[in-house]
Amino acid sequence: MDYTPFLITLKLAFSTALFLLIIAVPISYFLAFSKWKGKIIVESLLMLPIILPPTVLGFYFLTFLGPESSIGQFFNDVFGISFAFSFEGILLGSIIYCTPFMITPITNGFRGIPRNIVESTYLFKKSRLNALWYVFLPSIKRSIWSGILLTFAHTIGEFGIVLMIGGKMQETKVASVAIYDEMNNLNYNAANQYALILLSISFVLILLLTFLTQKNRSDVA
Amino acid sequence: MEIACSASFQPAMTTALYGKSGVGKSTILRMIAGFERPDTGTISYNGTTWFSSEQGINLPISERKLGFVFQDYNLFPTMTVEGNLNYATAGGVIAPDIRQLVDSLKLTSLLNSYPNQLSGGQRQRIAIVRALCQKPELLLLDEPFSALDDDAISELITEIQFIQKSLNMMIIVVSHRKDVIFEMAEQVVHLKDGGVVFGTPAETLTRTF
Repeated sequence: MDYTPFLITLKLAFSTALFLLIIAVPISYFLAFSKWKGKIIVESLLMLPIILPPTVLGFYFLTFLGPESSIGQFFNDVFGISFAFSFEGILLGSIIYCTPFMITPITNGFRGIPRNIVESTYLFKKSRLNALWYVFLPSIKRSIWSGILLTFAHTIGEFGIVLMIGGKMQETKVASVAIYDEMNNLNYNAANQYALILLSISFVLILLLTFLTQKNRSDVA
Repeated sequence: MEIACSASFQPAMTTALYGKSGVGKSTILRMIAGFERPDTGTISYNGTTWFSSEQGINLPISERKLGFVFQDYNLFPTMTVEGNLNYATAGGVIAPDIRQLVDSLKLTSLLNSYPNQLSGGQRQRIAIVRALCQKPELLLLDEPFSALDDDAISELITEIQFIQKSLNMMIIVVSHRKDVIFEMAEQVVHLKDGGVVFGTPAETLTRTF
């Protein structure tokens, strides 16, 4: 059995979670604490991937970033990066697709910090960055872990968008696409093996997430 | 909610803001601190204007030389008591006079504890000490007793009075309890629907408890 699809899947999931964590913290902080009335539009745009069919996302991804697009050509000419049929492409697609799964728990975490705690930080002549690092982020550790696990789990299970952007190339064939490929080739045994491993990984992730959620609930009580 | 109020507070005294629920006591305290912004008017302290709608002045909270104790959720839950006090101190380490205060209030044994390991009374006492780490000239207490039993309240009042006397500090406390006000306040600002009444507790409040 070829385990490369699992290695690519795990690499994609880790990379997506890491990149999203870095960009989600400041975005979530803004959504939670900003008084700007227009942030509802920003929040809605960020939540769009939840309801958008992956094929729609994949289609527009290729339209605006594919090899025929001006942005795609710029990146290819200047950086040598092609977003179609490459790991960079499926990573970017995965980041866009998983944005709500990282941003939502972290934003809710920030919003759940008691107002008095937030206001206390204004009293002590500390910068907002200092308060974020020493007070807010430690207070929402479980929300951050929820975001990481949800993003990781969601990336593991991606199919439509990865297939549209990455196809079935050596460096883009994730486990879910490998199952599809084996099914098409009538290799049911191989498809079953891939499916069982993916099922086991998914179950462990859900178990961790459930444990985290229950622990969070009991701490709040 | 509309509040129209004009008041001045005496230095080196404990003044209580009293009134029925919803009259705006906490809102006024929060405006003094800078957490809420009045629509119009002036807030000044010792000759310095903290807020003026006319002049467009709104001094940042951290510049107002005050300490503030909330009704609850004062202490940062992920820091120990010592961590909370260090964070509140300008240099990042508890000052000797604050450490002395911690000792005299018999709180030293709690320094390595987390807030969720403390009783309500202990949390409020630590919150008051933390508020003093910034060397404030004015201490604002917003219903600090509401989550406490009578014994804890008495203990806390004694300690606040000790702090007020030793630091010659101006304290403004919001409370809806007459017994607390009679025990700790020298002056009362009684907010009523029709206006504001100033005076001692005996002058402004009917002693019915």
